[in-house]
Amino acid sequence: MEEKSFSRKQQRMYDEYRASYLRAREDMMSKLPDSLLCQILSYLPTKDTIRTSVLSHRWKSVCLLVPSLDLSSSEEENSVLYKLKLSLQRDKNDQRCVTRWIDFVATPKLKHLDVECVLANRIFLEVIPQSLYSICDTLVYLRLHWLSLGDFESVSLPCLKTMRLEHNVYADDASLESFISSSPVLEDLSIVRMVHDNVKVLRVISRTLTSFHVDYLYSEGDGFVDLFLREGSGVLIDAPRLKYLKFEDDLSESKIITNAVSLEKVNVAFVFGDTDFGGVVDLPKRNMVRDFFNSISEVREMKISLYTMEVMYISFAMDVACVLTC
Amino acid sequence: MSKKMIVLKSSEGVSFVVEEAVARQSKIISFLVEEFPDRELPLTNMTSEILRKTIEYCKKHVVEDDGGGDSSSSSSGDLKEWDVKFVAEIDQPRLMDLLMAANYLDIPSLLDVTCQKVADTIAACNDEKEIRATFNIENDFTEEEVEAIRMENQYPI
Repeated sequence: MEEKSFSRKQQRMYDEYRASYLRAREDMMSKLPDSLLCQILSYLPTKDTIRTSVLSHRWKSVCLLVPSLDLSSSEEENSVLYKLKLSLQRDKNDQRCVTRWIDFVATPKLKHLDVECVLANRIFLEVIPQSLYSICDTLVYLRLHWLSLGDFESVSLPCLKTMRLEHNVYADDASLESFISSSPVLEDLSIVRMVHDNVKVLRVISRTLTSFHVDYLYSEGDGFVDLFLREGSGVLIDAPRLKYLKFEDDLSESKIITNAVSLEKVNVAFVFGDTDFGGVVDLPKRNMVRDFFNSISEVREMKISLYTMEVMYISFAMDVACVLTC
Repeated sequence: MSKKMIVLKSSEGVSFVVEEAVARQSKIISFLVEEFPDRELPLTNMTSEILRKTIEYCKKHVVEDDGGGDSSSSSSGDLKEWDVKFVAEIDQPRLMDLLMAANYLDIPSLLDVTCQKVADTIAACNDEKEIRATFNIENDFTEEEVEAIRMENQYPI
């Protein structure tokens, strides 16, 4: 026979070689339980951990389980955290998770802060910790969503250009007004109010503001029973450099814009609420709406929603053409 | 004074006679020794090779636990250096086996050095292709999915 069988020694060497060849090509990581893979990943800087989420479905899911956060960067010695987004799920048992996070990761050079809570009951909204206000002096962008701003003594946001306040609860009118006014360079402001936010009149007074979006919504669980809460509610805008305005507040009773001398584009999605539709509209309200449109009459471009047009035409018997040509 | 010895048996049936103090660095063995004294302990999911490596590690580390009086005990700095060398000499598949052995036997310090070594290997890769190649990880994502994750994970500023 030409093909001589291997000697025992050769066979063993061959087997060993073959085994090591196969092992070298085996996905050893797939053998590890999630807890061990997770432990390995916790030794990596967060940046590298996140990088591994594109490896495979399993790695992606394990990445989310890694309990450590290592945000230091080795690229630059002076590197610090500039941007931070916290999206936190809170439940009743964890009343202070936002505070803990902000205290833990907010650094004195932070420029971009985005904090949002989900799943919390409105009654249990967490008050923003005082420590936030101490890091404010470098912030350029701030977004707060579903939080309570509480009462603060003073706050200064000297660099803040963009402010997004969504579905928050405030101490009162004055505290919201001073929060907005605390930035001397504010350019872009967006506020989504809700009926139970402890604010009657939203006052936006800014010399620097160029873009403003306002919305006013019922939140979950609110209904027409909360109608009385809107009594005396209003929005007042005094921003001489305002160029872009998106108006979606149909719930406030009074809407006043003054000093709108720089206005270029207005998008009027909602000015009227359900209660205005088809009902008897009293004179003060008609005057308010007329003044509202008069105050923005200098604008170059105006977008009005069909709904708004209909209400103006039917309920207010307003000469729409007159509004548009003035 | 003769030291108490215990016997550990690998998956191939090879017996290793080890000082009890050395073996007791494994919390599992420590527990087993108390429950079943004077018995051979079968470690059916550990090959002789990995068991030998594990014992080597434990032998080196047991000196530390003798207390400061022992002049031969290595300083913690030396020990660290030794650890680094120890894992550096092991190839990838064996390192994973050792990691799993450390987990199975519950030897926290060995688990720590092996996990660190794997993490370092991941960190040393330039991109995810290199990580996949190093660990033979099969990519089960479509290109669109990878792109979506990348967008999601974009590192700020």
